[in-house]
Amino acid sequence: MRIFSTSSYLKISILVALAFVPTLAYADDDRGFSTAATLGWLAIGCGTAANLSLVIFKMIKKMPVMKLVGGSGTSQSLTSMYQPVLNFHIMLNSVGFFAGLSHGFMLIRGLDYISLSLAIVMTVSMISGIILKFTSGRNLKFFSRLVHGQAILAALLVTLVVLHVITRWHHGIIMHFI
Amino acid sequence: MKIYSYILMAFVILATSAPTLALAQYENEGGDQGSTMILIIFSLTLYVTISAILGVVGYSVWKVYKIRRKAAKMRAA
Repeated sequence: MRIFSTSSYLKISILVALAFVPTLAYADDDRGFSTAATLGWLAIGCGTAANLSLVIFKMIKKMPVMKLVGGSGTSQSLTSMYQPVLNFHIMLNSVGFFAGLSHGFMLIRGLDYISLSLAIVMTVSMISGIILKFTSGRNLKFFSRLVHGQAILAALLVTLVVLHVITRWHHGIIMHFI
Repeated sequence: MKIYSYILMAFVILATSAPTLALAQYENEGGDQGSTMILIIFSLTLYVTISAILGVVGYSVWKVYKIRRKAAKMRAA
């Protein structure tokens, strides 16, 4: 069974290569802890921008044509804009995921249950997103669309990010570097 | 609204409230003391996360299976 095409393998390799981009910043800095905290904020920022943009776009797209300024012309231009917005979502989420991954590896000594839960939820979302983007199998595509779009995963992710920031803040790790 | 929507909503509330409960307990007990109670509640976060993910995956598999079965029935008819 052929799941991915050759160009898809190339795209996956590029996405995996993104993992090494944030670690370059770590190599040049002897204050590794500060870099790690910055990477964490970078991951949160990328994730927020990537997901909010897609959610807002989908909300506008679902609005009735009559309510849109410009009517059917705007509706048509929104349809053509979907692919760039989706690419932006994928790109920013990939950068955010790998920044978060590097942040996690750098601060692995401080691993707790919330951080581990956050890493698991992020990985599941990322894997389902990759499968959704690159698979051509109908069943697998439908399955990954269901997993990727579940409200419970989004709610869990937001809650865990907030709790992770609050608990780390409490430990004084971030406070020390601000 | 179907019954599984209510179950899913209850699951979302449980999944999001369990970590918040852990944090409340953590703040309540000072945070610096290594209480086993806090550890147990914090570990609950991980179990809730894993069960939520398994639930989502199971629900998605069941949905795909249901659609496949429906399509097979329509083809046979």
